[in-house]
Amino acid sequence: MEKLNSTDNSYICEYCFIVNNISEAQFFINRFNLKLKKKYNLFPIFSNENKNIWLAINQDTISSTVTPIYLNNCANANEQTTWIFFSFSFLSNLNSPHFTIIDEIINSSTQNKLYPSVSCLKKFKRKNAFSNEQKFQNQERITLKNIYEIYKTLEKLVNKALIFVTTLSIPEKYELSDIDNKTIKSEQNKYITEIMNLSDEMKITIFPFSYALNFYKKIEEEFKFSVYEQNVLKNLLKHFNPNDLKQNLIFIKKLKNGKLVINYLKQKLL
Amino acid sequence: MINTIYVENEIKDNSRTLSILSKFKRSRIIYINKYSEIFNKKTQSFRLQKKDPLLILAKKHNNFVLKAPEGFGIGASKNYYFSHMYNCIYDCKYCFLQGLYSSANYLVFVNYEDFLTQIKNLITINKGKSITFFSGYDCDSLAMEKVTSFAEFFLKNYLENKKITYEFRTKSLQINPFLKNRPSENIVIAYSLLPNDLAQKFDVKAPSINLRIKSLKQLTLLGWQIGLRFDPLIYNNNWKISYKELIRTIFDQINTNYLHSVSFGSLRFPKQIFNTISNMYPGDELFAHNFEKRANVYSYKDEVENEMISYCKNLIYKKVKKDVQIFTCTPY
Ligand code: SF4
Repeated sequence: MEKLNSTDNSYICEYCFIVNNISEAQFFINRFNLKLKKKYNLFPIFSNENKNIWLAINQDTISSTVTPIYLNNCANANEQTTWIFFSFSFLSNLNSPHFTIIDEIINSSTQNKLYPSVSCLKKFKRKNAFSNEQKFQNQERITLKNIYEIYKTLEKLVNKALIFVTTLSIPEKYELSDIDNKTIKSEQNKYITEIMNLSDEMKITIFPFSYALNFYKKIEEEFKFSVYEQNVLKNLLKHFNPNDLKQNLIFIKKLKNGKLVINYLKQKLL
Repeated sequence: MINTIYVENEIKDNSRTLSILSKFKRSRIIYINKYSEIFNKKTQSFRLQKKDPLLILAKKHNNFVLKAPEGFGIGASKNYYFSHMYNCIYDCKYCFLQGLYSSANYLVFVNYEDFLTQIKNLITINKGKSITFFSGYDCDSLAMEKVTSFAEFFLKNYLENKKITYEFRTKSLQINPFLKNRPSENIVIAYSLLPNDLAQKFDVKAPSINLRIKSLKQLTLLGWQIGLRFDPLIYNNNWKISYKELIRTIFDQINTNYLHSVSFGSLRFPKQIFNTISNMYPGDELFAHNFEKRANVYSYKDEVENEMISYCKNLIYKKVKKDVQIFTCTPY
């Protein structure tokens, strides 16, 4: 598939969300101020202004294996992008909402299984989920629509450790229209934020060098550097941790030229 | 604490599986068809999994015992190795497993009997020849003993034969199985050793050098044969003083009558593994000194390597009364 946004590669896609319907998307749209990108018409695709957060709503009319591929292309995602699949699940044996990470996906018709990574997910409640095309009543087990196909595609496409299959299980008596409920929103907010933060920490371990490259790209957009200076800059950035760089970036962007950036970073290292 | 254990369906009722699972009452257990569904997937991060490894229990179907690489040996005419598990609870910065596997999860093969059967077959095939079987190539052979009880099983069931040596290579203090059994001429417990200052930097999560030496002492007191493995030999500006101190400390404490052998192997990596590992530790001093690429292997310059080995050898010759066997391992 052609890179749909090949004219604009200046941003870095950090997070991609996949949901099954607009009710599931609503929280993300509000929280990250996502806007519908009309130029992508195969699926509803949303992104925020900085284009670092993207969301796709899976469609019943198109094979769900296409969703991750399409979003990956639209968002210009890379190996460092965090992928979060989120869906509500309705359980008859629950009294209050429960957030769960899925570590085993079972295809209901074939019984084939997939195993999302559980690295660093100790503190979350984990369960298996059945993948179905439709919703059933009286469920005591988590059932997520099309998750088998979506995960199977994603697993081949991106870094396995950065795919999170999540669900907020809700007592079956609730309806999707009840999803504005405060408790549900605050649970979503709490856990999705935790996962996003966790994935940021994980990226530092997985890509010990490449966060520096991301900052390099951001700095290079603003200043001119000679080839020699580019190398000096890349090496200097590797000596900072990502949080320090995030904080320093605001100041760096206010500097007048590339030389001052390099001097500033050298000073900081002393 | 291992919070998730994957178990192959085929061995889910195996008594050893059940015994291991009974040690992790609060872990989440997930049954799988083949360990490769978890272990061999490409898009995994070794370093990330190392932070929070999980356990996979599986059955090995073939290749129980393999020929040791050229140059890896302690005097026998044939050298083989076997690994009842892949990966390790320690996190040595130079560990080649980081470059070998995409997963850092612990993979334990519970069909120990099959390893012994193949060892016995090889002894029969090579009748009359001296053979060394090394345990601890794809793992530390004792570090997970509390979970696996592999050494305990081995000591009860191995084939005693004058021409055969079994080496358990380790950095672990889990020597209980040896303390409980009578010493055997066939078995060598070999410790990998680094000077204290280097071990603190590079043998991450492994027992301190002093504790390793204490274990060596305990073993010799009971009459077990021990091996000293200065492998890898690591260079830094202070290496002469550090290695002199290390060798002095060891020989002050152990009974050299039970010293089976000493071996040296300087730090070296096949090219691909060097690239993978050095990218895991940007700027680390381990990769800063004197590396040279020779025949697809990154190692110290010849003269550095030779100087380190001969310096350490001389120190050892001064310390031992009997003719100790000294070997240089060039495993790649
Ligand atoms: S003890 Fe051996 S196997 Fe374990 S991490 Fe260290 S080098 Fe690797």
